[in-house]
This record gives sequence, structure tokens and C-alpha cells, in this order.
Amino acid sequence: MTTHVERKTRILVAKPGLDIHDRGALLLCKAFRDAGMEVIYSGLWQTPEKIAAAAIEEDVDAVAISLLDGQPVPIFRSILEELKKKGGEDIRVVGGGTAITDRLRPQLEEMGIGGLKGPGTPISVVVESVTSFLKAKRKS
Amino acid sequence: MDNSEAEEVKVLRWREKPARLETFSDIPVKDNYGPDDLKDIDYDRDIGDPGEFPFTRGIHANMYRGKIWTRRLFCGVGSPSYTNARLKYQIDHGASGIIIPPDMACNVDIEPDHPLAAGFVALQGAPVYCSRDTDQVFEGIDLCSTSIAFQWCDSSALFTLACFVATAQKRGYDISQLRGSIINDPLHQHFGWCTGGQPYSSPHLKLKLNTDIIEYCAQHMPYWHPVVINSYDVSQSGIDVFQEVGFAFALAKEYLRSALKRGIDINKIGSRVMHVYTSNMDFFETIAKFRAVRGMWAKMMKEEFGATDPKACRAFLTTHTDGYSLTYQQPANNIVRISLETLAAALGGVQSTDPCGYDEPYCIPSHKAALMSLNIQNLIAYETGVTNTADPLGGSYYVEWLTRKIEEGANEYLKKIEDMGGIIAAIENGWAVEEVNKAKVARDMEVEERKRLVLGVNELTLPEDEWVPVDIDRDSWLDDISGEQYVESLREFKQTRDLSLVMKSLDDLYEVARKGDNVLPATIETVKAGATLAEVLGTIRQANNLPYDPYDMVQNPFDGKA
Repeated sequence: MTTHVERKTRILVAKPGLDIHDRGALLLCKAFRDAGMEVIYSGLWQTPEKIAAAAIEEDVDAVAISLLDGQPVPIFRSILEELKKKGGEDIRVVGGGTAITDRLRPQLEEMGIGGLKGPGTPISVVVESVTSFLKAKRKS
Repeated sequence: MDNSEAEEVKVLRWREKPARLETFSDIPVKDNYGPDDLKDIDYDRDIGDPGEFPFTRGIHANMYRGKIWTRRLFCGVGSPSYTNARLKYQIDHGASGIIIPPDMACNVDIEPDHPLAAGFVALQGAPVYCSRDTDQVFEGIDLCSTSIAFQWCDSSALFTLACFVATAQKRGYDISQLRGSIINDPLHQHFGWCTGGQPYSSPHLKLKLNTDIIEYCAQHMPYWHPVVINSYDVSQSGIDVFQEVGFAFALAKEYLRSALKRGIDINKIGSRVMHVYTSNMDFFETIAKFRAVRGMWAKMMKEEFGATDPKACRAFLTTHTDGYSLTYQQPANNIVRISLETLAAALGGVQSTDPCGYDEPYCIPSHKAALMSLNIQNLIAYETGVTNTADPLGGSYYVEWLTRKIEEGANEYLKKIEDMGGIIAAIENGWAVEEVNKAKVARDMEVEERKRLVLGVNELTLPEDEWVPVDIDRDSWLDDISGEQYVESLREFKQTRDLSLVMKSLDDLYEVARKGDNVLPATIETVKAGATLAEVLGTIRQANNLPYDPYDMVQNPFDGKA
């Protein structure tokens, strides 16, 4: 009998556009790493195109977008479009942060974005929501 | 029914002890303080009466009896006209000054059509990309009786001040009578909340432009504060009080040294450099911090920079309350937090306050949250008696000891930065960013691990249906206005300009910038001709052998069109 070694989840934590509040992103990097994932951090000032290119280059399973401000719907839409354009449509996108309001959440869910936890969520809950989203997607 | 079998309710918090016995910045605190703790402090030398050197107790003898501190509230969103309407609402509802933040694109010196700006225009501040925008922001607002604080930090401060001067002159004001401030602290952007600064920028050029503003104001706008050291933004990473004050002084010294090299008189600008610090939930540490800063500033002005006029040794202080202390859970509690933080600032003797909105963990302040924050400031001013006398906590053994402690620790941290070669060196060798990033994660982990108790977050948490209700309006204003509308109006503005005038003025600016002269007068001419933010700063950058765009993603639209 051979043991199947599951590869560690690889995740790109990215900050799009001009959202320069990076405390949440840095904390997520640490939390994902503590949860056993391999984490790549984009740094600030990323266009959707750069985020998609890095995701493919780094062969990640998921992209995590931390967003304190900005308009989430067009930002996530551009990232999904860029991923598709570059052949990375199997890469999952998760998001969270202050910019994710109740009013926008259904639209983002419909677009296939996972996580979508708002401010004030304990970091353990954020990690759990991301891992279970990725697990469910892997099975489907 | 047999009561003896019912379980009795135990009061677990009976005789509860505090979970921490340190200040916010981990300063260990004793059971009590007395005269022995102050035996090295000489009243006249180290503290002084209010209004007397070294101004620990305040910069005026009678403090708020002479003038209540200026009460403001962040205001800027949607469009210049929308911002104008909100400003007028605030002035109607008790604001005694105004404070305007830039939107995220202005904040980092780029325009709405930049590839990075999509989805970020006009959301978190006022969009100001041409002098038409400052015309609209201040439409119908008297510019002389209003103390105006511009929150532009980066080199866009130069452009925005030029637009403001153009607007004021167009309306017939004598600019020497204008009162207010502009942050103009570009170096902190390299390591504060915005890790690492822009990829294609130079701290040396930023410093040069900072000095241009200081020089221009020293000559033409004597009541204006041309720099506000923005340690607030750095502090929001979670750094401690020694770092907050140490970084602030390191920044200030860099700006002052550069200004003095230009031949500007220290007696003219010593008290024109303002400071914005956080008021956080550590009530006494906050009060002691403001007192310590005044003492440190006065001594530095006199002993190190050679100021001879005691008035130039006064530190004008302002505060923003601690956004990081506010919680998403039970937002009504934030009203209490903001109130205590604002009270601490008043007891610390600041010149102005600018509290957060209670809804800050959700959104920029809604109308109701803004009104509440104005009410908090006025309530403290009118009802608590804090305005009755200067420095009411002066002489408290604990407060005086803590003031001294902060002064010592901050001086030590400042020395570390100075020994490294100053703040630019600390930015360029990566140390400053590292210090701040360490704090960003550490502070959150302490809350996560319950080393610090935050009500409603890691202690006494409640399900949402038990929260005290408070109005939260995250995005209904988006029904009235959108960033796209502003983008369109800027496009229209650009189409109506006389391009030959714009290009001529930018050519003139380029020549001035090449020569290394003060670029502010030429910048004022460019904005009068209709030039926009990126065109102006890009021209200055190109004259200094940098790419037009600080991210090198956009080309100069006029290159090759001469």
C-alpha cells in the first residue's frame, strides 16, 4: 500500500491597487503559515494582472485578497478575468476585510469568491473558513 | 419547589484583579507613586509653568481659557462638491475647524486613470486633482475664519497647497492671513502604515519638496503650519510610545536640518512644525505623552537647533483618536472609547482634536457617526470642566513620573535612529519598515492570545442580537455618488483646458525643478493654467531623473508633444 502524501496548500496573499492598509494581510500570512500552508505575499501596489501572473507563476491553489477599502466587486471581477485569461481558472479566490459589506457579499459569493469574512472576525475563524472553502472546492 | 437544589449564581468577577499591570507600551507600573519618584525632577528646569519653557504643562499660560482647542472631524468623500456639503454640515453642527483627507490616489501622488487606482477613487477622502477641485471643496466657506487641516502626506501636499493658494487668490484672499496646516510628511509614508513607499521614488526628492513648502510658507504664509509630523499613521501599526515619539522626532529633525540648510530661521519655523499623535485607550500614557513631547521639543529647539525665541520652542500638538482601539463588535462601545481618548487629549493640552467615528471598523464616518464625534468634542469642552485650568493633572506623582519615563525612552529610541544616520538611512537600510512590521503582527497576536483584554472581542463577548443598537450606515452614500462620476468630471475638465498654456507652464516648472530652485511658485502657476496632479509631480520627477510615474506604469502624456 502506498501512502498518499497530500501536497501542502499554497496560497498567495495579495493587496490590490491602492489599499495600503497591510496589517490584516501580514497577519493572514502568519495565520495561514501557522495552519500549515505555504504562503507567498505579494506586497503592496498589485494590479489584478500582476496578482494573476504571480498566482500562476507560483503555482498556488488559492489567492487571498485582504481589502480594507476600495470597491470589491470590480476588483475581484478583474482578478478573476485575469486568472481566466492566463489559464488559471482553477485557482480559487478568497477575500475578506472591511470593504466586504453585507450589501456586497451575495454578489461576491455568486462570483465564486470564498471566505468573505468581515472585520472583527477572529483570525482562527478566517483560516477555518478559507480551508473549508478550499476543501469543498477540491472535492467538487 | 425545593430551592436548595437550584444552582446558585456565582459572581466570578468579585475581587477581580486587573489582567495587566503595564501601560499600553509595556511600561511596568508600581502600586503607587510619591515624592521619591520625582526627586530627580526640577520643576523650573524640567516642567515649568504653563506657557513657560520647556512648556511641558502647555504652550499657553491660560490654555483653554483663552481658546478652546479646535474641534474637527475627518471629512472628504465622493467628490469635491459632496465634500463641500459635508463640511458645511459639520460647521453647522459644532465643528470649530475642518480637516480634509485625500482619496487614496491623491495620497500616493497618482491620478484616477492610473492602473492602480481602479476601484479606489473618491472613496476614502476628497479627490483633489486640479484647482477646480479646491474651488469646489471650499465653495461658500470663509477661508480666514476657518482653520483648515489638509491631510496630504506625500508630495501631493505640494500640489494641493498650490491648488488651495490658487483658489484663495482667485477669491481675493491675502494668503498671508490663511490659517491651517498640511501634513507634508512624505518620509513617514516609506515605513508607516504604507510599507515600503512607492517603488520609483526618492526620499531625497521628497525631502527637497518638503523643504520647498516650509520655505514658501515661512515667506508668504506665516500663520500656516507647513509640516505636521505624522506619527499617528506610524503608530497605527501597533508600535509603542517610545517608537511613536522617537520616529516623530527623527522625522522632524530631518525636515528641520534640510530647512536650516536652506537658510530658514529656526525662530520662524520652530513652532510652525506641528505634530499629530494618537490618543489611545491608555488614558495616562496618552496624557503623559503629550506632556513629554512638549518638553522634548522645547529642549531640542533650544539646545540643538539654537532657537533663541522661546515662542519657537513650543510644540503645537494635534491628535486623532486611536482607530485601532475601536471594535467591530458592539460598536456602541466605541463611543465610550472615543470619548475617553478625546478627554485624554484635552487633559494632555493639545491644540486640536479629531476623533474617529464610532463606525470606523465598518466604514468612513456616516452622518450620524460624524455628528456623534462632534458632540463628543463639544460635550467634553462644555460640560466636564476640563477647560477651566491649564494642565489639571500637572503635579500628579504618577503623571509626572510617566512623562519623564516617556521622554527618556523616546530619546533613547531617537538616538538609535540618529546613530544609524537619521531617518532616511533607517528607511534605506530597511530597519524602519522592519520595526513597524514587527509591531503590526505582534499587537494583534496579543489580542488573539488574550494578553490584552478588549471588551466584546476577547472578553465579555455577546451575540450580535444582544449588542446595544447603534446606527451603522456602511454604504448608502454610494447611492448618491460614485467614484466613476468623479473620474468622468476630471476627464471633462482636462478637455476644456487650453493645452498650450498647460504645457508652457509645465515647461517652466521643469526648468525651475532642473535648477533645484523652490518649485512651489511655479507649481501655483501650473495649477492656475489647469495642470493636474500627476502632470505636475511627474514633471518635477522627470526633472530629477526619475520616471514620470512613481510606479513606472504611466507615461507623461505630453512627452514628445512640444
